[in-house]
Amino acid sequence: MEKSSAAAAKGLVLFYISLIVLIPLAALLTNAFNHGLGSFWNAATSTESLDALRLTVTCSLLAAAFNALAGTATAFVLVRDHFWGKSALNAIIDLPFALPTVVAGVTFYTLYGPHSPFHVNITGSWIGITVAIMFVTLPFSVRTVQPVLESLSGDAEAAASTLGASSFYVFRTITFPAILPALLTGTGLAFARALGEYGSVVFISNNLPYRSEVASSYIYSLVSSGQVSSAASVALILLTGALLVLVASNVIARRLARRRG
Amino acid sequence: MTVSLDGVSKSFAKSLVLDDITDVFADGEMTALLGPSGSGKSTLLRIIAGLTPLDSGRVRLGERDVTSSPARERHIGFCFQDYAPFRHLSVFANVAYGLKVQRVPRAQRKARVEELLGLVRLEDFADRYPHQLSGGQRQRMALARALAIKPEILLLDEPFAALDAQVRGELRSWVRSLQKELGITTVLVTHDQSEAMEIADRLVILNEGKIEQTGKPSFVYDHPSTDFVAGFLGPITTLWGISYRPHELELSLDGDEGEKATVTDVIRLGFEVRVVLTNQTGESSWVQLTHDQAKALNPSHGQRYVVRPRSARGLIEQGRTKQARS
Repeated sequence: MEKSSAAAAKGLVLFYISLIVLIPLAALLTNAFNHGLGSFWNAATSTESLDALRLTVTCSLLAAAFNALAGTATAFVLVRDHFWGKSALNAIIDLPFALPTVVAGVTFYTLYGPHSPFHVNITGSWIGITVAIMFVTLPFSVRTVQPVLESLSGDAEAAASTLGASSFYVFRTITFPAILPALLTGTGLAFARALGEYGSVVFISNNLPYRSEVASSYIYSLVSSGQVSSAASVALILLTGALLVLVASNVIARRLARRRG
Repeated sequence: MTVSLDGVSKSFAKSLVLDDITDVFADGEMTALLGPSGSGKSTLLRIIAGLTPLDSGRVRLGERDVTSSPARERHIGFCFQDYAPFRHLSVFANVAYGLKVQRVPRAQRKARVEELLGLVRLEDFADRYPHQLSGGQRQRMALARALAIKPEILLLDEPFAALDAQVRGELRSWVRSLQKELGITTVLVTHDQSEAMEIADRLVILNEGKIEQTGKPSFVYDHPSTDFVAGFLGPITTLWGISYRPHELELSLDGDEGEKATVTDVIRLGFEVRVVLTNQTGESSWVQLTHDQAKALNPSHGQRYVVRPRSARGLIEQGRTKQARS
């Protein structure tokens, strides 16, 4: 009885995953290679595609790296400090997850666009794109590092200080290695998420081909002009990149974590 | 090196955890801070180490006033209750940590760590990680790590609490002999009175942030100065409203000096036999007999005896007069 219900549950999960993830992926794959390997390669490596991919990867890397720093600092403040309004701040961290990204995009456009109340116009530049991505991916680093910090009793750090270590040395040799696996996972997730970001970026980037067009918006323009197969080719590159980063960051994080049990 | 505490007080969120603690832990001695949970003993240990700031009072190590020195400048070996292993470092690297901080050259460091691992019998575990060790091994690693910096004072926070009974017993006597061998001033925090009695040269009994009594374990056991100490260190019973150790009462079949009472229960616990008796007014006492004494008397339910103390004065009374005299 129990066995059969477990089998049924397994089947259901497999069916659901197939419906939601595997079938669309297969469709994407078929579409990308619709006109053969040559046309896939040409579409993926056209100058406009390469420029868009380069811009996307650069901005995503910058945003993920910056958030690794800012996110870790935020997690520290949330875990180790006590101040008025802390729980409110803690709740706000999740806002980028909950907010429709288009709303973020419009907000950034009005704040830092051509009609900026501060006269700061970063539309059409990599800075604008990076800032938008930073906003969307902030929760990843915070929410992965935070629970690890909470689980540290502080005794290992105290032990290091009784052995003569300065606070910075303690952080470098004890605290940082403890949070490193979580930090890698969080940064990997943020980077993977950033590669496909569309809504928050689309207004502020101005979408100038070869200059300020991110991959997702290039894919959108390809589909709009009926070049579905080319769009699928570029999309497949993005997908592969995201998948590789996710797998790599997970493998490294797990290896680090396994050694310490 | 001595540890001197002068009027040390500490509050957490307005509740007084340590109230004006003044005492001196002698050089080379093993002192046990003994008390129930919440008595402030662990906080006192952390204050000595510089891990918790105090509200008022002074802490001196030897002649040096360290009250405002951070932990890293105090040069004290500290073992945490959960051993606080550096989980991402091997056993070797854990022990070498303090030496690395001191920038001891690699070759010297290696020799010293190997010597320490030999001392705590972990030579074969140098390349393991903490999670691959048993509780007792982890404890010994923590001890080696603390001893690596050659501290003159060693602080142990409930060092045996997380171990099972057999390992605990072995480690206890091992730590005791190691401490004697090294002659290092050691302060041990425990809530286990038998552990404190077995391992310490001197007891400091804490209750609700205050020192109740200090002294040699056997003296404090026999001459407790308060009801709290008497009850905390060992069993007590009352006769005529006075506290006694149950083995200080004796039973006889007749006699005028003493209280006539009837046996209501006999509990046999291996070598010891507990006899519970109730007098005519319903007051009950219990008497601890050895196996041989019990055999001679052969007490059973309903039997009548005369209960009397071996010494005329009660436990606390004895303690107070001895205390006053010494």
